[in-house]
Amino acid sequence: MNSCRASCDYFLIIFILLISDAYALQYEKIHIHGFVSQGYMLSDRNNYLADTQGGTFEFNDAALNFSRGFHPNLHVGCQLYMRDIGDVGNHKVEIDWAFADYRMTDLIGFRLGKIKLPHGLYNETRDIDMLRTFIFLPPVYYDISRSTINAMNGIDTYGNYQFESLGSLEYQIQFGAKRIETDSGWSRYMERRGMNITGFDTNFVQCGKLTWYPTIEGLRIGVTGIFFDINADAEIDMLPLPSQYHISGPDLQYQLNNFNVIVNYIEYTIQEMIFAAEYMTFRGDLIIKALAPKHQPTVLDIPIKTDAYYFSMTYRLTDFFEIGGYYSVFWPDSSDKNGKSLSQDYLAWHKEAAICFRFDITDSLVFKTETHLIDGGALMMPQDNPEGIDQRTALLLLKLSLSF
Amino acid sequence: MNLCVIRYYFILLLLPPGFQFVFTPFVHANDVRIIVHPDVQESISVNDIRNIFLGKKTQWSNNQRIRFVLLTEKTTYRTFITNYVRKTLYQYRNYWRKKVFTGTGMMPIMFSSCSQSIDYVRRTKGAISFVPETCAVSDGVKEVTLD
Repeated sequence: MNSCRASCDYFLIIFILLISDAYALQYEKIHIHGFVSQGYMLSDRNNYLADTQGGTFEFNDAALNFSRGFHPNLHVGCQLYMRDIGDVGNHKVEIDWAFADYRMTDLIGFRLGKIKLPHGLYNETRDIDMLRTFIFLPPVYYDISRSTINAMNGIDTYGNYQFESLGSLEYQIQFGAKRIETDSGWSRYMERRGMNITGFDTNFVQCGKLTWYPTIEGLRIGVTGIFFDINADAEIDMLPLPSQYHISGPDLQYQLNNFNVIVNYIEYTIQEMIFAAEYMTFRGDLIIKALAPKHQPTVLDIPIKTDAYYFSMTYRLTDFFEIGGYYSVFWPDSSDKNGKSLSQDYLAWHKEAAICFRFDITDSLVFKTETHLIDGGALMMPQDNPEGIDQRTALLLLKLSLSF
Repeated sequence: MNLCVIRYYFILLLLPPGFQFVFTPFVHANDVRIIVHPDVQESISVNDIRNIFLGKKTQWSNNQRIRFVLLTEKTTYRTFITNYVRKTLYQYRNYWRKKVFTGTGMMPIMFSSCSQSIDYVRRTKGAISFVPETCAVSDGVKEVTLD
């Protein structure tokens, strides 16, 4: 009932903004922009990210941003964001980004504050529905990971360099610290592994992005990397252990050391068509320690080897209509892609085909309809599917977004 | 649901590219003129124009800040963005909206009339814009021939 009420509120806001003919606002040299989105999800067999089997409107988000230029080289801004998808978000308002941006020269500039992390082609815009074709991005940008790789507090050094005959290069280097909440998507993912996270602590974060624009028109090739360690306190909920291990007491310390996420990408734009492909590797050492051992401390050391890739194509037929599709694969453990060590082999993969139709009704109002066909249960949460996970799922998504 | 239906979905994706060769409008390359403030003395290439209007080139060689403005009269705007920035109008608008919603840029200054653009370029050091060929360029701005 609460989600229906919230969804009605989102529709009402969209309607009010529409009839008020709201465009980008400006007040005392402060530029104001924002968006509101309301979606609907329906699946046939498994619940995916929310209670989707019966259809749900628990799928909405909104943002409001403010920016002001103080000097030709300096501008400052911030964006407030809130969302609800299943039991993640729950309309909690957060600061999406907030920083001062000083561009010294084309070669170097600095941003200081809460900054978005570079991750593949689309992480910086993953929350902004009207800036992309698809409602759901491929699992390289899996929603659960948003809390981990969305933004951090720190400094960003960026710039671009134009070569004589090799095109141009853009770079970003970031250092800082980040915070992960205990009600985040990452916590839900760890619940699946039998641990209830009670507190997170992350060490120093380092990120980088390098994009090459060669002389071939419309082509860009690049790589991003995110590096940090995560420490967490956890309570055992249901932890499947090999038979020779025993845990004393209810509490664990969970460490994910040498956490690194690397994405290689390529994108080619030719007139109205865009082809894109990305390959992500997620590596780390998962270490689980019992906090109150009665005997020798028990330590599990599990290497994390997660891989994912996709390729996509979008095509804009007219100013009003765009079509797009992608095929993606996600392996939580790439050393066991066939699921031989699992009770059900299809839990080892998530293969997805999606097709989307986007309608730009006006410059600021967008409607999308999207279908996903999913094979595999690697990204289905047991918490959402207590009666078991089916191998195949079909998902229908609808979304209406208004921006100003 | 039979996953074999996927292949039919992807056939749909192959159809639209055929439309491109039928519906892509022909845009005349010589329908716009590039104008700058008289203080701008350096030679400008087509690549420089592109980088300026994408916010990647932000300073002239004398370190003066580049101020670019857009004329949003539809035909002129489309011609300029297609031929010089080498994006479609939709892609260009999206490019700047991404910058706004990620905080990495502010929406460029836009004018709906030729006279407003010319007036801005005349009174702003380092300014650059574009106007249709039919628009009279007054004293106080300089027309640029690109390298």
